Amino acid sequence: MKWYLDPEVYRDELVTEDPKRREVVEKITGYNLEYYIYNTSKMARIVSKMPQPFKSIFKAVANRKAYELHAGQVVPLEDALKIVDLAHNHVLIPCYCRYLLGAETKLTCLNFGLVRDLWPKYKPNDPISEIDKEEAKELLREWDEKGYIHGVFWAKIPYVIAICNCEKKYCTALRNRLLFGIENSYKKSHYIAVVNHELCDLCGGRPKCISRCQFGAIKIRDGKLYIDEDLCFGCGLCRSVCDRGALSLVSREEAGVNVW
Amino acid sequence: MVKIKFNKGKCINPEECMKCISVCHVGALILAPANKPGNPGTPPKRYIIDLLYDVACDKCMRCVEVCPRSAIEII
Repeated sequence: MKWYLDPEVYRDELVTEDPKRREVVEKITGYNLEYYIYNTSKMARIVSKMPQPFKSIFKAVANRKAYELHAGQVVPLEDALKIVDLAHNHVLIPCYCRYLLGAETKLTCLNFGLVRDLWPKYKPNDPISEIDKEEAKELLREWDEKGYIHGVFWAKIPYVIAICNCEKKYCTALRNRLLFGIENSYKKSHYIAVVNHELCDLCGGRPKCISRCQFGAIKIRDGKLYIDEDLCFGCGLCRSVCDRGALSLVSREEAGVNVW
Repeated sequence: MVKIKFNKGKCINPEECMKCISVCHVGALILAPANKPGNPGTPPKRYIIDLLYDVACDKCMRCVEVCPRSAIEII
């Protein structure tokens, strides 16, 4: 079973019974959030520019801290919908990554649990909107259509606090991984995309999935669609633009692609 | 090699302008808090533009052209 489908990871007692976790939750739900996002990214950049052996040492520290404290994992739409069912206190808050990186729409951060009570304490000027499960699912489907990658984020693993919905350009977690090499800041999903060559007709020469994939994982090789397993994050966004249903997700483990 | 420099004195209230950040097609720029954190929840008093993702910058110079205060220079 996937870790985020365990109802245990949504229990607020994980926070109320653990002062350390409460500190992390407070930090990332409003408490000087702009500084938290910028400083984390700045540190990742500094590490990426260090000479060896310092780079490897500090990268390991950054990876461990990200994993333990606050990071995310890509989830496809169907798993994001299951998470909505398992979570409680669904609220919509503005994404501060998107704010600092200049995105036009910012209300794309779907939060759960104690965020509802903690956010107004630190960000009174950013009113949160409480939504029900059906509204949350509708939004997830809308975002998926728009090409927003979903990711489940934890505050001191394994407590789940949010499903982040964003594009590669505006996601600082993803950028910390792709541009600065901190892999644990955003883990790949439990899946990987595969193509059914019997169904794929390359859209008559210009496959729509190639431009849909934000990771550049879909290519054409020897006249056939080819998925680069090293680049695929398993977000599943490619599937929805394929008219012929030629793309699907399979379990990363079963496919033997153990890059997370 | 072309280098891009931000003149902090000329760039005023970047959080209201955001022109260079919006025009950057690779997202190399970020709005960065310029002062030390205050009390919990206090938003930054001042921001600056930072070329944080310089690895992504392809030196297209669109930010230089779009800046209304000519605060971005090529050196």
